Amino acid sequence: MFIFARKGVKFYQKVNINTEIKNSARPEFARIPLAALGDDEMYLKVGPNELISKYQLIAQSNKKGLYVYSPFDGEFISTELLRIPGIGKVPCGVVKTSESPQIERPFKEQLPEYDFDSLIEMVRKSAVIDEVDGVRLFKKLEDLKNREVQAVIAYGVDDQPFTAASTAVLLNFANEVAAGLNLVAHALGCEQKYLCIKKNYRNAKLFTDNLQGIQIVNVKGKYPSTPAVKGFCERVNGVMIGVQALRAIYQAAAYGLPQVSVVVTVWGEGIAEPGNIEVPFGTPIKTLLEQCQAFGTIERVIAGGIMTGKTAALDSPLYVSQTALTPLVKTREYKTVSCIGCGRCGSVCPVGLNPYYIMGAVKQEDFARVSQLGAASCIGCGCCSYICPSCQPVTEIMKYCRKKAYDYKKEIAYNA
Amino acid sequence: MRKPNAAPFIHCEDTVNTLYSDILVSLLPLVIISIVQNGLRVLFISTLSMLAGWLAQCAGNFVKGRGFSAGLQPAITGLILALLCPVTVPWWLPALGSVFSVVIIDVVMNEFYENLFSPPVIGWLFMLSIAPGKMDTYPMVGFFNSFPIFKSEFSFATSQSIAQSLQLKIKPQFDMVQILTGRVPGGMGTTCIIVMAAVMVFLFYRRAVAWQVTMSMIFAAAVIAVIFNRTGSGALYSILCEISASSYMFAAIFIAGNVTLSPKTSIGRVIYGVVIAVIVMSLRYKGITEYAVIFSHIVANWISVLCDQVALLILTGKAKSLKGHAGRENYGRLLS
Ligand code: SF4
Ligand code: SF4
Repeated sequence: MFIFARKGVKFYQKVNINTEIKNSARPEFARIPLAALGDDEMYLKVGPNELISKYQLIAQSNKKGLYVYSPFDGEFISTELLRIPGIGKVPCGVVKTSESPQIERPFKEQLPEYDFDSLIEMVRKSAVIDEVDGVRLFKKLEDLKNREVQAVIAYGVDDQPFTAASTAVLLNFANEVAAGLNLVAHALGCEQKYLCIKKNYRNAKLFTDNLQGIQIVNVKGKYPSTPAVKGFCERVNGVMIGVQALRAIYQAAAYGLPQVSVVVTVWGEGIAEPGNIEVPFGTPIKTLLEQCQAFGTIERVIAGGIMTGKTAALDSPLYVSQTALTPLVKTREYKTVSCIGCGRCGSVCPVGLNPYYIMGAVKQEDFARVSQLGAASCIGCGCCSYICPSCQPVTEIMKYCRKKAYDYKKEIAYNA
Repeated sequence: MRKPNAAPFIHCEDTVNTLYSDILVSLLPLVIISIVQNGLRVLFISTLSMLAGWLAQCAGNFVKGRGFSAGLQPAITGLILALLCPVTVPWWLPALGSVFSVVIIDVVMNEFYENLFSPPVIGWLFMLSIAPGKMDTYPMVGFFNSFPIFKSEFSFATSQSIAQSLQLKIKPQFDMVQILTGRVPGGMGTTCIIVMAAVMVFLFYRRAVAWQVTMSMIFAAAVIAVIFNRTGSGALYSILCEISASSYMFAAIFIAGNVTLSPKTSIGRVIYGVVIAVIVMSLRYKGITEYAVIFSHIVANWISVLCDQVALLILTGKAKSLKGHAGRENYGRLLS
């Protein structure tokens, strides 16, 4: 079975990264993000200079029941406000880390059974976050209460250049992902189970053989694949969950472990030894770059993929939605000229927008037209900027248009 | 120069310069084949016309305080205009046409209303208006002709073009091989269908022209040529005659296919191409030849946005307002 991402852009990059997953080097200090949701607030469960152990609860929110666990053994020092790429300024717990023993955990065939409510509770307590969109998974599952779901879809596609984390997770932990997927499907009462992978990966055969009862969906075509997968999700009336989150569900069910790490691809121009690394939350980016033998003067580090990510400071802590870290030794400069009206931005847009006309409308401050032309549905994939021969910052402008379209819709709703 | 400070942090290889250089490169085989057929006069006229267009744009930019420089676009306009002329036109005519079109469209009009007319169309119209007799008098075609390089006026044996024959309801005197290889009277670089087809494929691959426009123009003209066959010969012959007459195929690739002026949606582009084809063919059946292609382009340029509106209506079922052209703009300003 396959689905085809018809619109978007094609990268001509060979996937030649080693898909083994290494453990991250231990940083001396880690800064663990204590991110709350909306008007919720986090409360510390540990005090300054208190010794803490790996998987210990260190903070909890007062309203929505969010939990944060320590990924390290060590000493809790204090809290600091830090900028995390893609999230903004977040209080972080500073931990002086110490060596943790490595524990081998064999694969468990038999897992406890969960119904819908107990699954949500388990996922919430285990602090599982979906790496695809950075959303707490229990929120996503709670939203399904008002919907009849018939399928669970594991999303294991690496479609941006310099990303291979999902494939690495599948190649190394296919059984765990499959167990997580089966567990969720059982709790939701779904018969249909799918695993979306990107075609072309030379090792695809290795993990596709392991997944009993799960249908493999080859995602062919262009970047981005998410709109095509979401379309498929709607057709089969399903819910899409990232493979790393499914693996975290397995670990929570099998061993009662919360999610405290994420597999990250560290790859890019300035990296001598690219690889996939299992990184505990809060590890500074610098530690990973050193581990992968970054060389030269790194001008920028992009966290979260080169098409959609954000620039990150070297001492920023890593968090769950940043499954790729791409250092750039020399950022290319683009000569921006006036828009020539070639329409390429519209021809690649995966959601069928026409940035040329939308930008024309926003230039005239005609926000009704911006909204009417569908700017609110921009997914910020970056294809329009990537393809623009005039090197206009089209995606940035479209994000601005999206905000304006939302504001306009809100205003109309308010006035009505 | 801009270093992206937001995603994406990579960019494809294509830029405005590569786009225009693709077009320029794809015009070169047409120049070469024309040199083989007509001698070095082609090279002289083409170079002069390119240079004139480019210098006119440089001067325009200089007057506007943007420095004495220009991109490749005016040079392309100059070359297109040269290739549209018979080799026997006075050598100064394409150069004058390209200066006129660049000054009127690129330098003056674009300051007030951008992307309204295609510069080559206006230059072509200008040349036909000031020297009609020179623009539609064609020499006999052969290989290795050697017309005087620098002379403006000279005598030569004339021949009737395909368009002129069809207008007089006479079967053109050329066979299919002659039409395909461009050994027929016409613009000096606009007759060889085989070479044009090859460069067309290259330009489609490089996405330097709007393939939907070019293909729908050719396809629609072919359908009309089959239904209303004016040649008294087979359907294929009729198709070849109609798409080669009055530089139709050349215009479909290099003028109508221009991404800047054509609609921005695929369906809009198909509609646009069909509209041009229908206007050209209708005018031809009414007895208008050279002006048909020009007039149809002028009309199509006006309705480019309308084509997109129709396309969006078809796609979404809702009428969407696309007020005029968005215009050429450095949109980065919106963010500052
Ligand atoms: S791709 Fe760039 S140059 Fe082309 S229409 Fe869009 S913004 Fe303008
Ligand atoms: S307009 Fe939005 S969704 Fe469309 S290509 Fe640009 S960033 Fe992607």
